[in-house]
Order: sequence, then C-alpha cells, then structure tokens
Amino acid sequence: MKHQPMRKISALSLFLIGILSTLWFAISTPIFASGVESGFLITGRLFDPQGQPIVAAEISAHIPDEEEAIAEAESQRDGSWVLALDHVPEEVSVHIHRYHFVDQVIELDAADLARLQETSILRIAELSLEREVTAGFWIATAIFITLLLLIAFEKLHSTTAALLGASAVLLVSALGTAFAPSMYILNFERALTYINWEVIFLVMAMMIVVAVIEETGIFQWTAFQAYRLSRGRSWVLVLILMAVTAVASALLDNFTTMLLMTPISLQIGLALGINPLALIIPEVLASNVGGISTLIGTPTNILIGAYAGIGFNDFLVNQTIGVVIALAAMGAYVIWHYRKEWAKVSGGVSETLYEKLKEHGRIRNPNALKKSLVVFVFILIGFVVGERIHVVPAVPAIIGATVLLIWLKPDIHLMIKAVDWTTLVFFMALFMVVGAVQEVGLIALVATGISQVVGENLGLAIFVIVIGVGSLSTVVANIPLAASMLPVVEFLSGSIPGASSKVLYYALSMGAAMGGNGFLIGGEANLVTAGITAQAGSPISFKEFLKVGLPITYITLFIGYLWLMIRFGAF
Amino acid sequence: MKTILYPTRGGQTSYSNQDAVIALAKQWNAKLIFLYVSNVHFLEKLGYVSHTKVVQNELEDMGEFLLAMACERAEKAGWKAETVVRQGSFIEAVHNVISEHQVDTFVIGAPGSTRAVTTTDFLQSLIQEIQQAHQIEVLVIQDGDMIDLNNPG
Repeated sequence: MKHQPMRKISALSLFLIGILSTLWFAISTPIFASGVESGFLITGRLFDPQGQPIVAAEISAHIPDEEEAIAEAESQRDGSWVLALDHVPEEVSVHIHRYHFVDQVIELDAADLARLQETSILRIAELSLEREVTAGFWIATAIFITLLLLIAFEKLHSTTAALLGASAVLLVSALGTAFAPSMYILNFERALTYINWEVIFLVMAMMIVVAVIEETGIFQWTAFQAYRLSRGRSWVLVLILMAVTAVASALLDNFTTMLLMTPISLQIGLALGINPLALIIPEVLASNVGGISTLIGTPTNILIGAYAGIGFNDFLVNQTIGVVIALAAMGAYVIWHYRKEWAKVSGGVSETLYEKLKEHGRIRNPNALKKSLVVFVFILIGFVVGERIHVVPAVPAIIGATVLLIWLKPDIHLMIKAVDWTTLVFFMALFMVVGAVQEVGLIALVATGISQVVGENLGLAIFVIVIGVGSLSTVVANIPLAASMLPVVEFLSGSIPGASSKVLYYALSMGAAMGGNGFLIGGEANLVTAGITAQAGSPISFKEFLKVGLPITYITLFIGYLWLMIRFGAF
Repeated sequence: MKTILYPTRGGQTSYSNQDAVIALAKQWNAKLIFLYVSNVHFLEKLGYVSHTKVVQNELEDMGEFLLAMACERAEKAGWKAETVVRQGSFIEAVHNVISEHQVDTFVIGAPGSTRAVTTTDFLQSLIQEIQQAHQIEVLVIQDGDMIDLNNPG
C-alpha cells in the first residue's frame, strides 16, 4: 500500500510525458512565417526527385567574400522556405544544404535583385534536389535490414530490436556530426518528427478499452453460444466461430480475441471428440483477415489510417465486402481441408462437461459489459462522426477510455498495466528507424523501382502491392513492413493515374494482414494461439499451420486483389 | 491404499496414457490424482505480460475442463479420480502435490518418438529429482505402455 502514491505518480508521469512530448513537438516545429516581418524576402520550395517536399533543408543567403550568411532559414513541411534580408546587397547567392541531397547554389542575377528591391519579395522557381547516396544511406539500410532479420529469426524481442535499431541510427548520426558527415542519418529532433503520436494514442486508448471488455467474459460467452447454435455439427460450429472471431477482431483486436477464444474453443473441440485445432486454426486465420475491414482491426490499419488520413468509414465501405468474400472462401477451404474431422464427432457432450462449458462461457461481469458496450458504441460513433468534423480517431478513443475509467472505476494500476507498453515503445522506435531509411532515400529508391515496374498501370500496381506485400508478410513482420511501405505507396498514389483514390493504401492493408496467415510465425495472434494450445497438449506445428495457412493466404490475397480492382474500377 | 499421481496436459494424444494409468489404479485399487499445471511463461517469452492475469484465469478453467474429461474416462472405466490444477512451474507443482497428497507412485507420460531425445533427458532428470526428494516409485508411460526410459526400444 505504501507504494501506491509512487504508482500514481508513475502513471501520471507517463501521461504527462505523452502530452508534453506532443506539445513540445508542436511548439518546436518552426512556423512558416517566422522572421518574415521585416525587409526583403526571398522564397522558394524544394522537392525531391519523386516530387515530395523536402523538409528541414538549410537555406542561407551569402554575399561574396563573407563567410557568415546574411540570412538563414529552414524548409518547412510543404518544402517552402523564406529568407528575410534587411537590405538588398549588390550580389547574393542562395545556398541550399540538406543531408542526403546534393548541395545547390543559386546565384541571383541583377534582374532578380532589382525585382527584390522593387517588390520586396523574390520568388525562386521550385527546385528539385538530387539524391546523394552517402555512407549514411548504406548504414541506415543495413540497420533496417538487420532489424527485420532480428525480428524474423526471433533473435531479439521486436521491441528490443527496434530500440537497438533506433539507438544505432542515433549513435551513427552523432558520430557523423562530430567526425564523418557522410555517415550522418538523422538527429534526435528529426527522428522524433517521424513518430506518429496519433497512432500511439489510438493504440493506447484501445488497449484500455479492450482491457475492460476482456474481463467481462463476452468472448467466452460468444464461443459457447456458437457451440449451442451449431447443435453438435462441428462444420457449422467452425463457420460460426470464424465469423465471431472475424467480427471481434474487426471491432477490438485479433490478438486479444484469440487469447480469449482459444481456451474455450479448445474445450469445445475436445468435448466434441474432434481435433481442436480444426476449430482453432481456422479461427486464427479468420481473425487475421477480419480485422482488415476496420480502422482499429489491425495495427497496420491504424498505421495506414493515420498516415493516409483514411477513416473508420473508409475502411468499412471499401474493404468489408472484399473481406466477407475472402472469409467465405476461407470457410469453404477449411470445411474441405478438415472434412475427416467433421465426421469424427462423438455422440454428445456429457452433462458434467456441458455444465463446465456453460460455466466457462458465462458473462462474468454483466454490469461492466453493459457499460463498456455503451461506451464502445459511442467510440464507434465518434470514429464515424469525427471524420466529418476533422477529429482524428485517437480523440474519441481517448475520451471513451477515460469515460470507462471514471464510470467503472477499475483499479487504475491494473488498467495502466494492461496497456502493452512494449508494443507502444516498439511503434515509437520503429517509426524512428523507418524515418531513417526514408531520410537517406532508401524508400524513395524502392518507390522508384516499383514505379518503373508498374508504370502507369493501376491494376498492376494493386497486384504488386497486394501479392508482393502479402508474400513478404508471410516471413517479414507486417508492422515494420507496412510502416516502411507507406511512403512508397504515397509516392505511387501520386504518380499513377487513378491511384489518388487511395486504393493502393487499401492494397497495402489487405496484403499486410492476409500475409500473416502464411506461416505460424506470420502474426502475433498465431504465436499466442500456438502457446495456448501447447498448454493443452495440442501444439500447432509449423507444418500443420502451413498446410492450411499458405493456400488460404494466396486464395484470400487474390480475392482481395480482385475486390479492389472491382471496387475502384481498375479493370 | 496407494496414491498415484499422473500429470497430464489433457490433449488427444494423452488419452491412451490416461487409460493406462486408470487401469493401473484400478488394478492396484489405488487413489488416482490427475494433475494439470498451467504456465503463462510463453506470454512473457512473446513479450505480452499485460494479459497475464486474464490468461492465467482462462488456462485454469481450461485445466479444470481437461481434467474433468480425464475423470469421465476414469468413471467410464469404473474408477474414480481426483483432480488438482496448479499454476506456475511444473516441477515445483509436482513436488508440492506429492508432499500434500502423500503420493506413493508418480507416473509420467513420455511423448512420441520424434521428440524423444530431448524429452528423455528432461524426464530422466525429473525422475531422478523426484526419487531423491520423495523416495517414491516413478513409472514412465508411452502410448499406453509402461516403458523403461533407459531402454526405450
């Protein structure tokens, strides 16, 4: 008890750190108009070879034989910059320096200077800076690939691996600043700008909401109701369980859904006398796909939504039908694949076992369930309405989580513990590493490569993203993959006719999530499910998962591709 | 009356071993205790400690159910069995239950041949530890047959 004040302080501190970091980030971003009140202004805009604005370039005005600049500025988010001069010298040159780009010097001629003198403002034509492959490029690329390998081969926990990557990037950059400028990647301040706080707060708030809901017993209750509805027909049962898991994953998250559905599904399977994995593997496959239809259903959708401004409604409208068709195909395949199991069903479940199942499948806290469902519905309404009034999804989620904490008064320490800080830290460190490869130009290089392959063919681009990302997702962790693909998709969306509909972002969402079904190691939900089934003497082997998961991955990826082609008229 | 302790995970592959232990208990007219030990260490290994409490509860429910199924097998074979569900370290749980229930015979199942090499080492060290600590009889059972771990063939 004597530690309680300390715990309260820790919880409050964490919250304040989050708020202050956001404020600091907002305040520390230079304002476009800073220093433009007086004198003469030289303005311009900078773009990279892909047409994306260049941020944080150093621009300075120099006069001959003077080492020190007479004016300095930094390019803003839209690539614009403004140099403020207090007088117009006879000769001026504008120097542009940006790490990972070739330096440029613009000599202003007499006509330019005359115009500046006359109108007080001189607009320089938009400039495209050439990329420069530095030592930093290769180091950042090596760090990123090492990070992916460490996660794929489970040499380090993903959060530790991401922190190692972020630390390596910052260390190399610090050394670069002091000793070898070509090694420089990005500094801490710049790295912070890559952290998407909207994602962090949305994930954190939803974790609190899920932590309240998971203790009510709703997951176990639905599984038991599925068993009752199926009346002992195991093929019907598996279809109902897949549907329930898919919906629960879309509304909450697939990891928690599988964590709570697996034990009771296992009991039902064993009671029926069938291999419980014939119920559980299809459930986990459905959970990975079901989440695609909403903004909050998968971590990759949260990333995509925050990056591309795709809202809850957009995901629902543009993905749901494709997801339902993919789930239907998955159901058909599962029924065929496990056909021998369905014939095995024993005569019936004994009274004792039925009572135990009923006991385990009961609602444990009806009051908490009612209140949390009310709040959850309001959060969903907040997502839908928020889009129309430009309120990001993190806001209704935070408000909803807070209302739940006040209304239900759960132990705040338990709720803070229920927030998966390892995942949040993973996201933050990952954003920094992805920012590093973006900064040095690796992402631009990949984008250009894909662009050359697909040309202006939108259908081909959708195919490449859905199938390519899906295939990669079977072996590469889908969150870092999606995070690094976002700027690539942004470039392709801007360069391919018809892609401004954001169809390629939906392709990324489908590919990243469906690919997780290929191998047992393809997703967190798969691994946690395997962990639970092993506890009941029914371990999921790599081969057993592969036999069902891999065909289903490609069936669903192909359906996803066809759906997007139809939905966005890309045929 | 002798007391037999048999830890089980309760999966379908353990049914033949459960039947053999039930038959043994019936033959010896012994009290039979089924033990299930759940462990959420896999969650810690995956880095998901935030869900530990809720998963522990679920696994405990699952353990009760799996042992209820084992008891039904015993009843069908005309014998009665008791159950114990524990959480945490398997070895620690076994030691505790042996002491608490004055167990005379500890029966442990050996899994299939594909994982026999590593499991044999674990089983041998477990058997040695149990015998030294409690001086009780330890039997190994595989696919429904008693085996000598030193001569598995």
